[in-house]
Amino acid sequence: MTDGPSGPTPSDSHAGESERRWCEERTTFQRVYDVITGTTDYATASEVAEEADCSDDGARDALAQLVEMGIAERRDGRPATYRRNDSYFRWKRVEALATNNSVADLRAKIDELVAEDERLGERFDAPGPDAVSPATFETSDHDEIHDRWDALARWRTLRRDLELFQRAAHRAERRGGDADDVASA
Amino acid sequence: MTGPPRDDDATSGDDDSTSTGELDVPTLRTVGRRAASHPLVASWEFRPTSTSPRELELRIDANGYPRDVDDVRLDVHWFTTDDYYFHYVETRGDERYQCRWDRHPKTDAPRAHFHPPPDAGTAMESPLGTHHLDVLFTVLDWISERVESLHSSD
Repeated sequence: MTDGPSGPTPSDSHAGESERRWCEERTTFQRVYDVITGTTDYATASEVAEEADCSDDGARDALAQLVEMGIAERRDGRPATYRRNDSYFRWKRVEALATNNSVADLRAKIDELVAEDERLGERFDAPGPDAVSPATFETSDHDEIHDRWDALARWRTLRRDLELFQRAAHRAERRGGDADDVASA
Repeated sequence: MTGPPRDDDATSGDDDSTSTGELDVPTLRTVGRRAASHPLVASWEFRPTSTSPRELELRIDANGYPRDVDDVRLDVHWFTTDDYYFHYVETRGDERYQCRWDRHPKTDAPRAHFHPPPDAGTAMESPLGTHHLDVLFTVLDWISERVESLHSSD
């Protein structure tokens, strides 16, 4: 077998190729969208502009539109800062779940998540992911840390999903039983 | 319970060494869409299901590889804490060639680290940051280089 690149980053001949392509193929608005949907901490328009490879004014215009659409939120200040609007993305997932699944399917999935939640509670001997002792990571065995960290992240993801599925089930019930108008995702 | 003193506090001053996030679905969706518009990538999909995803699977177009390569994929996890794994796996029959770009708490190595090929071995330092598109683009560029080197050694 050949060696190929063994280090974590490509050598100069390819570095930046994918980003260049992204800049050529996506408009300023689309690039700002791509950046802000992955931004969970508030950032200034010029920080966004740097990541989106556009002018500060270009970023500000796009961000103003995204705020109006509910996709981004803005915090006033000097300068103003922006991040993605998490409640918008949660609402979107709840809508999709309530539209594409029957109440029975949602209930069955909730039962499945609750059972997994119990199994993780037993594994970590804790009532929830926030109550897991930091000592659980005090080992130098990398695979073991990886494994525990992974399980804990899964637990948090599961708790979040449980909440979303419960909201979706309520919504689907209020709409009057099983949704049969399955929309494409 | 208190832990042993840490000697790498210079790199973990914010004392978040045990924090874990939840899977960051909006970020993964953007990573999937941007990856799919790259010529190396054939498709993207949430696994095990799109209703309750646990990871993003990117299928790399094996047609660009020498014929003995059966399957190539990149499994991506991204968390709300900006921790991540990008796991590259190339399959030839029963043989695997793999490596992984990670960012997660670790006592004996930097938080961001790379498990080098061919078997995702002992972690080495990774210069990658926490920007989702930068990390994706760097990994895609790495894959381009990998494909090229496989062909040039054919």
